[in-house]
Amino acid sequence: LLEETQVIALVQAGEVDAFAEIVERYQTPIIRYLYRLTGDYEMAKDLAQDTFIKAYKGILKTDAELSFKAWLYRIATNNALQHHRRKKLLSFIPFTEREHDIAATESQADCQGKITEIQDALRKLPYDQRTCVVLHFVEGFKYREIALTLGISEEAVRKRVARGRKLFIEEYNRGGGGIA
Amino acid sequence: MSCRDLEELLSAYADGELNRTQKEFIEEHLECCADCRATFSEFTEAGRLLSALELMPRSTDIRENIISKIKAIEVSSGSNLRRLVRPILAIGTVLLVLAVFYLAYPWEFRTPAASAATIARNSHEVKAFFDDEQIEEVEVTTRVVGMEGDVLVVLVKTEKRTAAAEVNLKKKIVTNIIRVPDFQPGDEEKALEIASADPRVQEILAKGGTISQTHLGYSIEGETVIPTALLTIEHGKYNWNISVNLQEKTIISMGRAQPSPAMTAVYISEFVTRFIAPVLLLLGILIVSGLAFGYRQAGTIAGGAALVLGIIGMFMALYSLSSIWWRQVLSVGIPTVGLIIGIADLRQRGRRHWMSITGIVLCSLALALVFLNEIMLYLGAPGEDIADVIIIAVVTAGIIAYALYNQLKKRPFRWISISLATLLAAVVTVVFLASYLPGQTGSAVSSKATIQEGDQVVRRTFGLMKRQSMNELIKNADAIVIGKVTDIPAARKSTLNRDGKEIMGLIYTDVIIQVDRYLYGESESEKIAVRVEGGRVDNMIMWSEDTPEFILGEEVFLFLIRPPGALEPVPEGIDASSYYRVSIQGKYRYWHGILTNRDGGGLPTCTWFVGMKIAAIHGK
Repeated sequence: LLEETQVIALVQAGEVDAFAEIVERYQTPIIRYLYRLTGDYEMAKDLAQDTFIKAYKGILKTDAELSFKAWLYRIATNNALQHHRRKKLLSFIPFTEREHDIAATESQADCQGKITEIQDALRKLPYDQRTCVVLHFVEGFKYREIALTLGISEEAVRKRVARGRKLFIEEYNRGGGGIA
Repeated sequence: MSCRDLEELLSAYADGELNRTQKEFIEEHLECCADCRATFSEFTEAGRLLSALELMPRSTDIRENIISKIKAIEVSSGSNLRRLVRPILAIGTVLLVLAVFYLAYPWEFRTPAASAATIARNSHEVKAFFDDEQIEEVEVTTRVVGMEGDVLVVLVKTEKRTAAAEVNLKKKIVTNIIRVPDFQPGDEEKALEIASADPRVQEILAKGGTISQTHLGYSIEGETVIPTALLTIEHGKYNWNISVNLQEKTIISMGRAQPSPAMTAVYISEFVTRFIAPVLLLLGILIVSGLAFGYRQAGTIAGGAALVLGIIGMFMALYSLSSIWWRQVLSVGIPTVGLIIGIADLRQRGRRHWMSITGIVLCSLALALVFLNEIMLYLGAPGEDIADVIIIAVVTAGIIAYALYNQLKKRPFRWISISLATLLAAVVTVVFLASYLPGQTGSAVSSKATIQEGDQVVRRTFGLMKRQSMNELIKNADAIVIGKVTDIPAARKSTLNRDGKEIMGLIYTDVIIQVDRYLYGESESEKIAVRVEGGRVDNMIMWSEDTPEFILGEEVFLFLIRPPGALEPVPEGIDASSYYRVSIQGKYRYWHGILTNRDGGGLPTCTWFVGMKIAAIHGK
């Protein structure tokens, strides 16, 4: 298996197919990240596609000022944010069927039946807190990595995670779950 | 500090994100605070719950989608060819601009002379002055009158009369018309004699001054126009300017002058065309190819460059039109380059930067103004030069369309534009290089003498002459031949000028040419001779700026003229009817069918094209 930097060098040298390697490596986490942020699997897939295409275009020009991973998540975050803003404008449109689809699959798969409740509670969080919470708990980013990815300070990350987590507990409890 | 204030630290503690001091502090606090212990366990539980989201019920492979999308966007991306095609496209684009720069210059319609002629021809004032007599010729010989800033004086001739009209090129109007007496042949020589007879002139000449220029012109005093010859004597760092009244045969004035402002203008135009324009083009090439390679810095510069070029273009379009040819060329070239850079920048950066947008808008406006102006100017003279206006408009539009096509991802457009660009770039390169071909034999034998230390310069002449179009060259020629310079005998003194008129102190050089092919002409001699003014006899030199230079062994394409009087003596072995003269504009270098005339400023062309024109004008 090639090193990531080697793969990037290949892509920069014009090997489009080498980019498949990058997509393979990151597609699952990126789709997951976007799904947990948006709560819409199909949308997450579209946003992920868009993220990778933007990354491809950018990779030809980008210097290594950020780690590739952080940079990719930054693109994904911005994509999701745009989607989030659009969705706000169109919020009167009801949830689509497909959303219930995957939610149903999830509840079946999850024996505790909690996943849907967790996801619902998460969705109530303000966008900036949600981003930090998902990056930290779902994607396993350290505060410092989040700070780099989002281009904010570590203090801000700490604050957002703390507030997000508190709000999450409140929403989760309100939704019927119970955190003792 | 209340426990509520500690929540942030507790959260970070649960995530293992505290430093040692903070950690110890929280651990101590937790030991003694039950509330915070509860909060902490809530926090840990929340983290555990959220971590459950890490599991995904399904996974999707979007690799193929992405790769095919990328390939669809970048049509031929990834192949090695692509890395070459882009820079080639970029350089091709700039070469096209270069072509416009280069081609625009020799086109007569862009010269101030042609503009002035058109304005004069269509002027109501001029028509009224001549009582609607048929205007036979409008002659723009700056050699006769001289150009000052934006006012050009032209000679308007009818069958009976001649008038000088001052044409303001900026306002496009005739500002003054004066009836003028005609010059007589030999007026220049007469002026030389009159001046030489003056003791003051003799003194300067004795001290080592040389007569460097003779111009025929008119002194205007009130409503009378006096035919005048202007002589310049170079002596030390000053020039002496002497005006000779040709009617009364007296010296009107004589004064010392530093190099004139007119010369400064010439130097500036030289500087711009030889230095600034190439630098500008080079910059254009660098920026566009930088963009093609995807350098960020190029993007930043490009936006700025488009903007700056747009501003310059607007300025030129508004203030500098129609005066000097290089300004006109730049007023087309600069906004075109700016437009292309702006478009390329937009494409590369993929977002609309205000600099690029403003640059593109300004460049387009400037171009529109230039063309509008040209078209307005030539609408008054249909058929005269309008074809050239259309050609240059089409070429420029083509370049812009090409740049735009490049933005389109569709294959046919791309490939058509790539092929066109490559073809045009190749043709332009060949033609451009062809005009700088070195002497073909490396022979040092030339028909033109070089002035050396200790030479006695009999006469040096400079001047501007009326440009002849290819059609005029063909129409005026008595014979048109392709041949090779086989001999350049030593220069001779003569008492006859090139028109067969008797004057003193001329030096001329004969050039013997072995004719390969006659494209037009009655005489079918294989060997002809051409007489050119200037040359060296011992250490006496006569040098003239506007005589063609022939090099031994050179292959040439000549528009020959048979002088009205017989030239004598005819060189040995040459038939008297095959003794011609040729102007600097009528002498082309011949190289595998490509014709170039760098000294005479002619547009490079080819035998085939000229042959067609000859057939059209003279018939088979």
